[in-house]
Amino acid sequence: MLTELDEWFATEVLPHEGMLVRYLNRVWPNSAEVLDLRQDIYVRVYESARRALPTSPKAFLFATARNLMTDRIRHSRVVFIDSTQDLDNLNVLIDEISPERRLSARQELRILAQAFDLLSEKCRNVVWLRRVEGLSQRDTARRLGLHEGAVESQLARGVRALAQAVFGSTDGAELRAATVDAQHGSENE
Amino acid sequence: MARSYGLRQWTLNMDPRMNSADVEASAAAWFARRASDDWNATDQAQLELWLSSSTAHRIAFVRLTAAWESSGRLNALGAGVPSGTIPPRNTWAFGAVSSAPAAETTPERLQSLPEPARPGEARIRKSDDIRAASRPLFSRHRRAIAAVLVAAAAGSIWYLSTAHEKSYRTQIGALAAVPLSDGSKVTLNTDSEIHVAVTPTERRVKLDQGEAFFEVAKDAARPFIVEIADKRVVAVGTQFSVRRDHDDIRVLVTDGRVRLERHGSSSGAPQTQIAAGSEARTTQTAVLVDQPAPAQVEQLLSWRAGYIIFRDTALADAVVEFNRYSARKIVIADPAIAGIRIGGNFRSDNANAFLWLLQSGFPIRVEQRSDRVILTKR
Repeated sequence: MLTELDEWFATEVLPHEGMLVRYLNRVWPNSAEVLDLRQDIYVRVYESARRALPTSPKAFLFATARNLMTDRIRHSRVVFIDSTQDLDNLNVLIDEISPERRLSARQELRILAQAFDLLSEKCRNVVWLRRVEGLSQRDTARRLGLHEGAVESQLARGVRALAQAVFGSTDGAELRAATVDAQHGSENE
Repeated sequence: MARSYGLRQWTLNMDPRMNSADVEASAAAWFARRASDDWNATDQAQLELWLSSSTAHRIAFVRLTAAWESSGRLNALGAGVPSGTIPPRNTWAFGAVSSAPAAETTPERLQSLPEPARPGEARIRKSDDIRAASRPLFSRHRRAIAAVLVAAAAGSIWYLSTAHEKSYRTQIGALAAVPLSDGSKVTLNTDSEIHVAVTPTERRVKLDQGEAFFEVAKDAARPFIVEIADKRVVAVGTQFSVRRDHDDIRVLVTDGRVRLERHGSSSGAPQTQIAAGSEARTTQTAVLVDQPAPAQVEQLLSWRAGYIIFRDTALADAVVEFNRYSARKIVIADPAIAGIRIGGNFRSDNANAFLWLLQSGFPIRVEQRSDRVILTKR
């Protein structure tokens, strides 16, 4: 049921989420607002892409972020932001990171496995049975001795955590950390 | 039951000011419900309606769906695990768990030079060293705090033979937390310097320049004394800040009570008691005690969190404040703009944001030079 535009958004925009959120955290003084900002930025990017797909999704994403923050500042009387210097640095960064850096399959799996292990016991069991073993909700409920409603709400919780891991950590600091660890790991093998 | 949950959330999210966490929770509820066994055409129609009612809904749903598809990689972990068993945690070795983002929130760290240990202190000193070695010396934080600690030679101007003195100095733009051996804590603002001597009878801090906030551990037997030129601030267990501008000081007490006195004064010399919530400012001849409003107290102490807060502040004063934190000074070249009133919260380490806002929100031109920044009327 996902449209072509949805697929485009998932493959071209969402993978930059980790970097976007880190950037917002750095320049926007109220961290409580960052996820709302992220949502509004996504909406702008998506709606603009509906008219025409940007040629460089990543650069477009960050340009949108900057415009949105500028608008917010102008509309509020509270003068409030960290830096223009960061914005400039970011432009440089966008130019430099091309072609896109992607996580290797191994790094991706590692991040997923870590996120999976951080789920609560119940949630982790539900995700394992539904995702890996492919059990239905009913069978999962029976196996774990839970109500179906409980399985459903644990699945809802699990998918949010996994989305955070999948999209929240695909570049920047974590990528480097993942690379270092992967190298380190292979030496130990 | 889960069904009504999704719809209830949906109703909430018709609010034009959509909270992203609520949207995500609704999207997750829809996602999980769609994966249930009794999903039907009516449900599908409702989901379509929800998705089309706002782009934010659609994006949240797309995001979770795509993540779930990516998490199909977890299947790789199932290889070799017998069907029906859920592997315990930490089954998979991928090397050490890295938590790089955590560094973003870690407090400032200090780098300390070793000092000559006193015989009785050898063991403690050693364990301190181990603890220090296990921490990164400098945080990976991009606003890494550059604090420099200089260990002074034993024997100080105050205590020639018995006590040792330690000196702490922050560079321009830096902020540092300095734990003292008596359990007290000092937070040093930009471009500040203190010399500390803790003895069995007294705790003495000399503020050579700058500003510091003191959280004094209670110890009635050892008064805590801050010396500033010819003045002394004496406390037992309290919290207060001292800011030095040349020989004048401002003392703000947030907890307990301190005594301000002229250095060397005997009982006959004037003393000023400063209670919590009060601020004292000295001039050459007088001490003015004021009771600032809570918002003002916050403003006066915001530097500890790395912020400068202005409330209806003249541009000239704001510039003075920013210049404390940066070696590249801002200069107002046109008196016509010096009186412009500004307000807002700024990071003290980022004058550029301030300048950018001046330029975009006020009739001010900002000229960046290598050694200074010049403000003129536009």
